[in-house]
Amino acid sequence: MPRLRLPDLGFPDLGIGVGLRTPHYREILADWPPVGWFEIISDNYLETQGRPLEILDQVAARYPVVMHGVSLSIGSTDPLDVAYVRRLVALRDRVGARWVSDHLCWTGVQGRNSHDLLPLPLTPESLAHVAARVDQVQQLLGTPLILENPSTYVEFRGSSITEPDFLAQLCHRTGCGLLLDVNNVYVSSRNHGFDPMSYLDALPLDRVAQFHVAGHTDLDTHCIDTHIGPVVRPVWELLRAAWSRGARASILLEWDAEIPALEVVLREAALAREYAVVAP
Amino acid sequence: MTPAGGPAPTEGGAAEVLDVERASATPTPPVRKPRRRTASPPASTLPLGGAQSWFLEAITHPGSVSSGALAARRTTGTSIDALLTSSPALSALDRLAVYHYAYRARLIDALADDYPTLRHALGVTAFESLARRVIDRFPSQTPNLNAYGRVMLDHLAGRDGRPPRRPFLLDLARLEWALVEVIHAPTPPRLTPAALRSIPPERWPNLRFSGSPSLRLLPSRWPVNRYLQAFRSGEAPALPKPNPSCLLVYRQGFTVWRMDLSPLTHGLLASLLSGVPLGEALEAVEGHAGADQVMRWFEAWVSGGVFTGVAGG
Repeated sequence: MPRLRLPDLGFPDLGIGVGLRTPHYREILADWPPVGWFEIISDNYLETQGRPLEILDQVAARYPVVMHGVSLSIGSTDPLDVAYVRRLVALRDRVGARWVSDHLCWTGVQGRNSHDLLPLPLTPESLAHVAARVDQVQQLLGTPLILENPSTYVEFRGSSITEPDFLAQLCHRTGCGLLLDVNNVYVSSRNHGFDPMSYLDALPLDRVAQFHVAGHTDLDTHCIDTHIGPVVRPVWELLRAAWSRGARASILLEWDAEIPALEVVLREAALAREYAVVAP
Repeated sequence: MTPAGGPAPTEGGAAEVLDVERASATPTPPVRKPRRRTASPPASTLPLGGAQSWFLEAITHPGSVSSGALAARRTTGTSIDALLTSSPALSALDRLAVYHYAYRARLIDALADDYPTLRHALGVTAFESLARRVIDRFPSQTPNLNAYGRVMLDHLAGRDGRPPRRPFLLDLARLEWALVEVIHAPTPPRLTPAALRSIPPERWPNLRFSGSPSLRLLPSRWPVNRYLQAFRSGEAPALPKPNPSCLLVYRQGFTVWRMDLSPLTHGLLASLLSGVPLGEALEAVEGHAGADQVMRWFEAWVSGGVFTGVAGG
């Protein structure tokens, strides 16, 4: 399908960043270490008026901050939680977050929340449903929403669209951007048996606003996206491949299990320079 | 460890670590032998909403993933093999099991992060059983996982108006949840000693104080703070015998403080925080404490940021 050129996302290339995590709060506030930018889990700062927000205010005064959420539930058939989106907007405006992202997934239905990033059947029905909700969110945000390809562990028999095609059509219909998690591409490719390079070829890489790299747990029969440990070589190679295909975006390392010292996290993130031409 | 100019906590103040954070990572299930795959029936034609209801019912089922898939089949008439594909290595049920495991593991971890001392008091296995009962009784209905832990108090408080079965555990959980609440509560500007001194003495008896939203008063029939402090100090405390206590929990800056109060100081502070005028509150302690002593308590509370405002008089 020929693609019309969409307006540029207009988001800056921030270089290499890491996730803002509580075990590192003390060191960050004491030393203000050189870090390109921080990604926050939006949900940890939405329903608090206390210490997390006080810390974030200080961090945001010194570093670029990007918001990454896990509860938008863009694919749910429950009504969109408009109050949640308004809280996202308020937080973004408070801390000057450069953009707001979440996942192509749903987290619950009928008022119940699984707190997991659940997979969607990739069908024309789902595409129309998600596109309408992305439009709604973008109206509230006033900027493009950035959506991440999730790690998935099941596929629906009724799916008739591949994930990269689904994301491409979603971008085309709504003007949204992508957070390309190359670890998720790798994990899902192992779980479902597709070729990760073909996945990259099918994505509109000019819509990528941000990359994620992360570690995972390889159980041989399948992989789990645990965000544990260093990034494995095949995942770094996917970053290189996406870059060589023209994707240009900020790079973020996620490390959420057995989180080591900040110094270790930063050293791992810096390895991205070997696989991509990173903004200074 | 005493905040400058503030009351001296008898037991610890600490930068409470807030580890109950959302992340998009998935907990790892235990490795098990893959199940045998079955022949596939025709693909499901469930609409999106039906597929989501099926999926959520299956993964949140309190029994096994097989039981969850069967329950979802009974509800929707759709089998797992009609809805989901297998992979070369795993059956559809094995793949669904990743989500079934992660659902409870994530919520159990959140409760364990909020209630580490309760977990010690019960033991790991009993705590996990308790957490599973809590999760099944109170499924999360909020996007904010950090707020989910409140349901532990609802569960331990008992059912149908009956008293709690394990009141010590309830009080311990109240303390641990108070530490979480205080972290998230705002700390508006406090009433300063200078502002208080500027009020003419003749108005003092009618003054009413407003308390900081980042403090909690926790009376208990057990020494819950001593138990919590012992656990945090690396001891393995045994369950205590009843011995009434009262604790003030409050936050100054990034630090959360716990201060044991005597029954007298608890009574006085509780009166003031409930809006009783200062003169009336002081009358209640007359004969039990000297004026100088009361003034020292009062100054300590003011310096510690316990009060945010004053009115009346």
